[in-house]
Amino acid sequence: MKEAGAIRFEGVSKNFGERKVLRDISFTVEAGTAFVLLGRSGSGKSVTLKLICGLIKPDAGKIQVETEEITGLDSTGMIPIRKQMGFLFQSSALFDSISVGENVAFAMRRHTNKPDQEIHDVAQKALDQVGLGKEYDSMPSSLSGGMRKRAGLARALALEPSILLIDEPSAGLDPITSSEIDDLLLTIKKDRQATLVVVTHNIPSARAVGDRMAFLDDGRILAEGTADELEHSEHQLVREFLKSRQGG
Amino acid sequence: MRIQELANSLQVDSAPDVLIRASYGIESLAILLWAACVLTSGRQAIEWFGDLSLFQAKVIRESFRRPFEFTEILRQIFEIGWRSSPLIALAGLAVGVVLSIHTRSTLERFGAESMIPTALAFALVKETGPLITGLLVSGRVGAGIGAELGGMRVTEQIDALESLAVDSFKYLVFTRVVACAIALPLLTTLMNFTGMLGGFAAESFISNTSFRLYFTHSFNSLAFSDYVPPTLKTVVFGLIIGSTSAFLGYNATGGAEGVGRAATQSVVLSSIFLIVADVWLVKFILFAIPGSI
Repeated sequence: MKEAGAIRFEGVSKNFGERKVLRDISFTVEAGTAFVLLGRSGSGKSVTLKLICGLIKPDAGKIQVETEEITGLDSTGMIPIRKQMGFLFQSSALFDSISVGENVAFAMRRHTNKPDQEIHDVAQKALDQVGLGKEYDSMPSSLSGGMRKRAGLARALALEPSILLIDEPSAGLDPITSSEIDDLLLTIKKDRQATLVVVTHNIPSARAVGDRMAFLDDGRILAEGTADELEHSEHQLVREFLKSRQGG
Repeated sequence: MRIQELANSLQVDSAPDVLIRASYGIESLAILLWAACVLTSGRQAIEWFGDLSLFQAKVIRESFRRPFEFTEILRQIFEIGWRSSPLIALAGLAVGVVLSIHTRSTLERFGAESMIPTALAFALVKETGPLITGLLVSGRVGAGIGAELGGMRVTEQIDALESLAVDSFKYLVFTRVVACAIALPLLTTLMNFTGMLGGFAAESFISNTSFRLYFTHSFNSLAFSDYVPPTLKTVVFGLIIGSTSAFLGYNATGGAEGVGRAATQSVVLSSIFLIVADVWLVKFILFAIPGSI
């Protein structure tokens, strides 16, 4: 029996038309740890997150989430697994026809039998956590990019997932808010023993949050290990990436 | 003079032949358009129709699987049906007035002005009401569904819905298609009724006909069997509008341009499919229920 919360990629490849986005990648994320995916734009990091959530299917290889092999599951089969996941999209992807608070409450309304007031309170608490307590009734279109990002994070946290997939958490945020988000992610990891997979370009943030990291380049994993191990990688590109982004 | 006499004077065999011959013209045009489309795009067009058919089959399959999303279906009926009702009512009034004026100018030649309410009721209930309602809804709702789902697709909102363990097809597509299928017959009935009101308004202005007399003439000749098949065929119109526009929006690509393309194609293709389907449905109804049209 595999460890709960673990994510395992085995020889996964993904193409979009002629373009090979991922080429035979394999890695394991242990339960309760934070795994950071680094790499240049277009190297396949966001695609990896979507593969974990089953939003796209691999062309080859196997993906295991918790104890379930998800490669062959359809949208309906993925529902129980997705209930254990939270996903913060790069673009936030808030539902623009409902308020920020209702975005956060949406999954609870669908999947729990909690009374309205309790759902409202939980959504309010999630928004408070990301510093958007006063924006419950605001529409997503009235928020700045950074605020939308935080609202997206609150929505991802609403169901208290055991696996959190985070795409660029600090993009568009000021350094202080970015640091607060890092602290929040660490708290979630520690308090809920959640498994985190984070895509970021922000090296200080990656160091703060990540237990292990993988560096993707041209659809392949060039290096994998702790931050220190990657800093001393045999690949010059990896060393330069970590060095050049030291300041975030 | 009765409608049959009018048909005789137009040198056709019977009153329904007027409609049938008109339908042959539309059918030929539609087939030509279809052939041109297939010939120009070849394999791509065949693939596209295959994908659309699979998409529609999935909608039908989902109607037998839980959850049935009743709340969302009701919300969509409100969005699609209730919010379209002012447009349909206004259009119905205008169509009624115009049809009444045209019918009067024609029937006057034969001294058959007393047939105006009957002729108008038949024209509205049997073809004009269903078809115009379908085309109006295709314009308003088809574009809306195409743009809304297209926008959700390109901004990753559909992916977000899936990530929240919600079946996006069921929640977004199935509910809209079902809502269209339910709303269309209701809107058609509204169009028929307001059309008759428009006809009455025009008639009372010209000939000072009383409300009671006008509607007695209108409804006396209409049987329930005249109303049911043409109105029920709009369920198919609803399925076509909902599924075609949802298919285009749900599979939209290419950012804002893709959303615009999905919205435009939703209107154009829904309208074409609706007209082609109308021809076949009229033939089917004539075959299945002889004398109903």
